[in-house]
Formats: sequence, C-alpha cells, structure tokens
Amino acid sequence: MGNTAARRTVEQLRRQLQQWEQERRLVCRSGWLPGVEESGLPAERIGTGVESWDRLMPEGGFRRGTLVEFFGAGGSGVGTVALWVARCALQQVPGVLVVVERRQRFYPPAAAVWGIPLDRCIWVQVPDKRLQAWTIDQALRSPAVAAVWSWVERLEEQWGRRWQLAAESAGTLGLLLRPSTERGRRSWADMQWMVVPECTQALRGDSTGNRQPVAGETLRQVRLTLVRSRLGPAGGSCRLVLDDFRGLVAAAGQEETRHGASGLSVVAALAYPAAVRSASLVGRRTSGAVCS
Amino acid sequence: MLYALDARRRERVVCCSPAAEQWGVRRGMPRSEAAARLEMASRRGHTVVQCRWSSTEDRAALEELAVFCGQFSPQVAHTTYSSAGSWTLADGLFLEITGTRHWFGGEESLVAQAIRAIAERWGYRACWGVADTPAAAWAWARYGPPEATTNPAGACLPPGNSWPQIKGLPIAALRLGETLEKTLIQLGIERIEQLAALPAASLRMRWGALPAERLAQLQGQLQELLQPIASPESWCVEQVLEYPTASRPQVEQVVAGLMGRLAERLAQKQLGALELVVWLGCRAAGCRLPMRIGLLEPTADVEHWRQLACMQFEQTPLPAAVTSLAVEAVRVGRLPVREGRLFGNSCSEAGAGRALADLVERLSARLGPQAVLRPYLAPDRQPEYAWAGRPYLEAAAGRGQAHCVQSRPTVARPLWLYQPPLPLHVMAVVPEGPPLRCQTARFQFTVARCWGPERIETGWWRGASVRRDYYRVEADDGRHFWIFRRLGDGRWFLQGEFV
Repeated sequence: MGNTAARRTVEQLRRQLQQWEQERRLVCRSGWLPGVEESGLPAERIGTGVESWDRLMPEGGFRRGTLVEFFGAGGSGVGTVALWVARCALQQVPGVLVVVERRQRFYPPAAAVWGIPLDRCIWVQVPDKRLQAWTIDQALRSPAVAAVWSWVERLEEQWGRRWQLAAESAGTLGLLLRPSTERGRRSWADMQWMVVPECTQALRGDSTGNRQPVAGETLRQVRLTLVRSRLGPAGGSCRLVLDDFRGLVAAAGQEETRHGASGLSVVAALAYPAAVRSASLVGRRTSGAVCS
Repeated sequence: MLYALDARRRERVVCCSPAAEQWGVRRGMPRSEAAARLEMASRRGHTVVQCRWSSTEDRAALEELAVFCGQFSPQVAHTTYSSAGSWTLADGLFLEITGTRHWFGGEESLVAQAIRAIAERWGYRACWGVADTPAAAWAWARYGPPEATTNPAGACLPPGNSWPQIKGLPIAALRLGETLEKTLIQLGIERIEQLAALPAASLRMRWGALPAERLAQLQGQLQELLQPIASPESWCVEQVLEYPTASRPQVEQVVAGLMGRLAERLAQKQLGALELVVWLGCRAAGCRLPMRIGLLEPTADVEHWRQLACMQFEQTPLPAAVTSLAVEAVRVGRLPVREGRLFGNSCSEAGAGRALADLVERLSARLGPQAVLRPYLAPDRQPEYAWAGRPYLEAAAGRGQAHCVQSRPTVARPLWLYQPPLPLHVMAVVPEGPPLRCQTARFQFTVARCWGPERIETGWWRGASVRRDYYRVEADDGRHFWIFRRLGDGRWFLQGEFV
C-alpha cells in the first residue's frame, strides 16, 4: 500500500517537472524572454559555416524541426548544397543522417568526401513513392535522426503536412531535393532555396576569359537564392563555391569560413599541383572551341 | 579460393575448389602466385572468387549448421580438425543416426532429406558418408567417389560390411596428420589396406600409437569419442487453431498472445529476442509461411514485436486459411540493464540508442532488411565497387564488415552514380580526345570545360578487366557530369552527376 502511494507521488512529481521543462523550452525557443537560454541541449539552429549564406536566413541558420526544400536540376549542385547542410547538422546535433532514395543512385564515397561519417548514415532504398513518403515520415519522427536527405519529385500536400509535423515533433531537419519544375507548387516547407549552377568561367574572376586554367579548377560555383521563408523575409541570394575534391563549401570571393573543417581559404583550395598538367592541356582546347 | 595471413603476415591460400586445383592452385601457396594462375583461368571464361578466410566465422557457420542438423539426429558433433599449414579448419559434422533413421524411412531417405534441406536452407552441396563407425563414415564422406557421396544410395555403406569399400581409400582418410601422411607415402604406403596389412606392433614401434588407433576405430574395434555440440534451448511457442481462419485481426490477436507467452519465458532468464520468426501454417496450401523480424538489440517488448509483425503481415499474402501459428525467437540475447531516469530515457544516450533501434527495426520490418543499409567504403578503384552496403541490422550486430575502409577518400566523385552507366553519344575534335558535345537518351549538353583523363584499369580478378578513361565535364549551363570512354571499343558512357 505504502509502495503504491510512493510510486504515485513520484509519478506526479515527474509529470509536473516534465511540464515545467516543456514550458521552459517553449519560452527559450520563442525568444520571448531575452537572456533565457537553453543549457545542455543540442543547438536549435544549425549554422552552415558560410557567413553570407547564414545571413540570408532570418534566424542565422537552419532551425531544427523544419522542412527545407532545395530546387535544382541534376548536376546543378543542389544535392551537394543540401548534403553540406546535413553535414553541418551532424556536426552540431547528435543523431544520424537518413538518406531515402528511390532510384539507387546515391554514391556513398562522394558523401564521405563531403565529410559525412558513414557510420552515422542510414541509406534506405525504397521501391515506390508511397513507401518513400512513409519512410521519410518515420525518419523525421525519430528523435535519433539529425537530418533526412531525399530527392522528392512529386509531393502530395497531405504528406508535406505530415512531414512538417513529424519534423517539428522530433526536432529533425528535413532536406528535400526537388526538381526546378516543382517550384511554384503549394508546400509546407519552412524554407525554399533555389540552386542554379554558374559556369566556372566567372570563378576565375577574369571578365575577358583569356586567362589560362589553373590548378584546382574542379571547383564549382552555384547561386543560392532564398525563394521563400515562413520565418522572415526572402529573396536574398549568395554565391557559393563547391570543392568536390576536399568536400568544402565557401562563399565565392570570401576567403574564410567558420567551420573547423572548412577553415581553408578558397585561394588555398585552388592549389592542386597534380591536376595542373591535364587540366591545363584539356581546358585550353575546350575554352578555345566552346567558351570563346 | 580462400586466403588468410599466416604467422609471418603473408597471405596464403587456405583452401580452394577442385576447379582451382586444376589450375595449379594449392593449399599454402602465396596468394599472389595463386592469383596469377587464376587470372589465366578467368581469361578462359571461368569465374574466379577470392575471399579472406576467417576461422571464427567458419566455426560459427559450422555450429549454426550443426544446430540445423539437430532435426535429423539428437547428437551432432564436430569432426576432428585437420591442420592446413598454420591454420586449423573445421571440416565437417558427425550425426549419430542409430536411433533416428527409422523416423525418416531408412538411411537413404534420411540422407536424401538432409541433402535437400541443407541445399534449400544454406545452398551447400554436402558430401555424406553413412557407415558403422564414425571413422569409416568420415573417410567415405571425405575420400569416397564424389558421385557416390553426394548421392543418397552411394553415401550409405552396407551395414556390417563397409571394409571392402573403405580399404581402397587413400591414407589421408585415416586423419593421421600431414607429416605422417607424407612419410607413409614416401614409403610407398598410399592406401589404407597397405597400412592395415602391417603388424600392429610394428606400426606402434615405427609411428606411434595413432595409426593403429585409427585403424581400430575404422574397423569398430575401438570406440571413438564424439563431443556433441550442445543445442541451444528452443524459444518457440505455438498454437493450433480450432478452425482455419483467414481473418487478419484474428491472426494478429493470436500472434500477440503467443508473443506474450514467449516474452514471459524469455523474461524469466533476463533475455530478449534479437530475431523472431512468426510461422503461419496453412494446411490447405501445404506450407508454413515465415515472417522474419530482425531487432537491433535484445528486446522483450511485446507491443513492439506486435507492431513489427503487423507491418510484415500487411504485406504477406496468405495462400490459404491459417491453421496453426508459432512464434520462435531464433536469436536471443541478454536484456540490456539501464539505470532508470526520473524523466524517462528520452534525452539520454540510451534513449537515443533505443530510438535509433526502433527506427531501424520499423524500416527493416516494412521494407525488408536488405533495403535499410549501412554504407561502407571498399578498397576498390572501380567506382561501382568502391562501396558496399550491408543490412543495418547485420552491421550493427557486427557481422560481415571484414573488408571495410574507414578513411576518408581523397578523390572527387559524383553524388549520383549510374549503375549500369548510361550510353552516351559524344562528339570530339580528335578520335580519342576529350568530349565536345554529349547526348544521352534524355538530354544533351555542350561541354564548356573538361578535366581528365583519369585512367582506371582494374577488376581483372572479376572476369573481364575494366579499362576506362574518366573525364569530369562542365556543361555550358554550369552542370557537372562524370563520363568515361571504354578503352576496349572507344564507347562513351555517363557514369554520374555532381548533383
């Protein structure tokens, strides 16, 4: 009898404390009381380490528990940009990355180059659209997941809403890659980004185009535009340089980034002695034939 | 061909198939020499498979097979181990069938059923020998004619009269060890009957007690001690339904009840299930449907089991009404002991581990374990083989991760890889030069910039060699692709997109 009463009291106290804890978190997230910060909890905002990119976002980073859409074509760099965000999420919050894929094209060695620890990666191969939607929902709903990365061609509205609620409940970041043609449709995503590749001619900073190719030319450049944001104004854009060789993202024309791993300057990244010979030979011919 | 590191850290052949032996591969040979011989075989169209051998995995597999063979005999034992250079090989099983053969309709029928069951369950082609003594059965199974030992009629030696067939076998059939066998062969004693013709006292004096002992065991004059493999406790509960039913809710209810009974039994020993099989018996269709449920860590949570079973059940078409049901814990483990928290385990490391296990188990139950993968890097230059995906349930249990590479790769690779590569029409300025314009079945692009070639020549051990010149190209709209030219015929392919 005594045991039961004690257990009941402990249970009541536990509920009470849980309620206080939830209220405190809500207050912290809302920012109503300045100076009240969450201590001992994982970061609520995920910074990208690229200042010009972070500045475009109303909160200075990606908020946990949100859906983010990246629009772009195959080969444009849209997947790489989203994967960079996933990498930042893995660095800043505990949990795993879930890659949900229908066409079995995802290539883990490339993800490893981009700094994704494969022992914190779950690759789910789904046979159809219905199971892809279910899998994304399950992954977003799990508190053990830091981010979900998936190429979603067509998105039904009710699934979008379910994913948004699932991500919000577990604090998971949903990174959805979408074809550019889907951009105008209704969406439950909290942020939408447009990724447009740019010819690397601009990267060399020579308007005449006469300069000879130099080492490190495998850098890519993309223009990133915040198309829509529920959390604040949209419309800003920035240029990013993607280095597939070292798995780094940097702002075009900016020499420093915030992350430890991405602390190398773009100028330093341009120095690839091994690639000089072949790149210069081949690049010279193609630039003469096509890019003149 | 199986190879392993010897005591001097050199790779040597542990064992090989008879086909490989025909190409000159021998046990104990350096792997490089064996690989060179097998390259010639692969050029002639043979398939060559080389694997690293692990004694632990080998023994574990044999013990699993021993448990499976428990359905044919109450006493299953390891055969003795033969020495192969500096390794020890587990090379077979003894089955005591004295009291069980009549249950299977005789010896031949038992062997036929066992051959079929092992082939279906494991894919192995087993060699059998049935004789009056374990030594004779071992000798016949290992050194009898292959066409006889894989055939139920040929595998069974006549009861009480096996000597005429055994005596002509080579001396290696006596398990005397490589050194003694070599000595005997050098002396011209190549068959058992030649050794048996020598006086027992002379045998003991010259080569110790072993040859005489083995001969006595072979002829039944000396009993051989078998060490049976202890079969694990069976964790199975079953129920025969009063009436056949095709109603899914009813079946689910019975399964939940059985799971509750199984969980109680496991809880008494502080155990949880790691792999469950729900058997659906359909007598009208004459089959038992298995539904396998893999778990990441030992669990005895009935509600969790039930949810995973329901996910699979939704996707399992029933061939007929269900007449019996069984729930079996195929693998069990000790339940993890965790310190309780005031707020539950939601924020703790253990809570995160449980949440991850829950996710992986749910995904594996619905999509199948093969669809939920943990990727690994593999030490292979050919892009298609530069990684491997293992079912997450297996990877987490620490099975099958022998060849993974953990270091970060240092080459730029596309995030999307087409497998197989897509054929590409390419226009180039010179016949073997870099591409200028590319066209696939779906789209086309003009090449603005191009890097390469990166030559990859590898894969000769998989059959035809791979010889490719890879180029990374930038289209005029800024998109990046990874294409290659096959050096053999000069054809172009799109291998990946830097998506």
